[in-house]
Amino acid sequence: MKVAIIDYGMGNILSVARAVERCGAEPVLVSTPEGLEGAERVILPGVGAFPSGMAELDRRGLVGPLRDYADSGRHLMGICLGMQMLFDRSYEFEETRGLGIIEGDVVKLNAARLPNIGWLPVWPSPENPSPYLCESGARFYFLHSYAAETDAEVAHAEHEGETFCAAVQRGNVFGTQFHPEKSGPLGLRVLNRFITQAGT
Amino acid sequence: MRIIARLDIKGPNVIKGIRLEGLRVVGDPNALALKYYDGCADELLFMDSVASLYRRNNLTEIIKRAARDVFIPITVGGGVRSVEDAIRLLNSGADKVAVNTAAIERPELIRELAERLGSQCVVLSIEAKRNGPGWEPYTNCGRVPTGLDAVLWAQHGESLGAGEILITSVDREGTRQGMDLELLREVREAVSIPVIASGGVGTPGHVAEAAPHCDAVAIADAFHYDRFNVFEARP
Repeated sequence: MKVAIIDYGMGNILSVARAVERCGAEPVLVSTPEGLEGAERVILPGVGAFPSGMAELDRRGLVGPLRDYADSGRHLMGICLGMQMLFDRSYEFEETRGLGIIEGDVVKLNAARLPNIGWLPVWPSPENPSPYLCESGARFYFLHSYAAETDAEVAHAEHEGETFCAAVQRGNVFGTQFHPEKSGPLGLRVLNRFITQAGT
Repeated sequence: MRIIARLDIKGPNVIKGIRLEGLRVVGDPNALALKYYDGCADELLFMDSVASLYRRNNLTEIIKRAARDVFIPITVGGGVRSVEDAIRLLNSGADKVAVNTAAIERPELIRELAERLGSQCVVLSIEAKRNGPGWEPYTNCGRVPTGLDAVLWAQHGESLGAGEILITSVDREGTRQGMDLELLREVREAVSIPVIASGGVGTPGHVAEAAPHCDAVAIADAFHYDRFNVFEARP
């Protein structure tokens, strides 16, 4: 199974690729729209600021093609900044439009000490869980200052008393605020489910 | 609170000293990285202990091997002098880079790294010794005094875009006599970014003492010499 990983100059691509390999799949780095043709699984990773992320995707002509890819019903997973860019807009530094694939906004966490860095238990939403994320209270690694506000939330976590969105899913589009490639064996398990079970 | 396994590297080996001197070989970086990953450490911290003396960083091969088998965050420091150095390390598998000497020599480096990579990737590493009522940062592996104040420097680093502070007590490190709690408290109160404490842990009790004053504890000696493990370390 080939898994396309969007390489737009931001994020720890190597770790995501290694994690995909550990799941028994073949990572393919994609930095142009042509790379999406024929892809069945695409991962959009990301570390850094939202405006830079969208600018780098735009520079490579990937914004429209990623939207088209999602519209076609094929499977897309966003990680951290990659998840945030799935939404309509973010308020990081300045209001910036996202890919608009899932409805929602990205706003700053209220915590006094940011970024939120560390391992937190993640709780699936009882009324809207994701089949890829079934463990209740399993710990995953977070590194972020912003979080999504959306009806597509499928799991939440808590930092300094504030509940925030830990994962989202709307049909073929899945996203985690945490880094599954940095969350040990349980993180790899979530990634593995996306790779092997998507669409089943 | 995160428990971070710290590996100080010299050439191909993990080494350990006392007060950053008298370095003894402890083991193979990849073997130890796997041991700590399997042992459920929250993160790994690789520091090239002589890099700034030779004005280079030698860890890319070590990090590449570690990143292949270890699926937790990896921070790398020692001899990071430029954005290019940092990018090379991130492309080798590091998630965060730590800067010390180069940032003191040219504080703008912190801003450049934060703008290019994002603050989350930038750790300001401060190695400090007690100096009168305060603490003085040292560069080049605890050898060169800077004349600065460690707490003020931490604040300055935050304002330039550092995402975390790694504060090492040179006086305590390797001694197993406990961490410098006053130093931790003052640094943590002065900044609003996470603080990683390093230097002096000899017992799980030392970790528990430090917990209210930091967001993570980096442990080297105790783990390398198997005095206790990650689970026992957690308060």
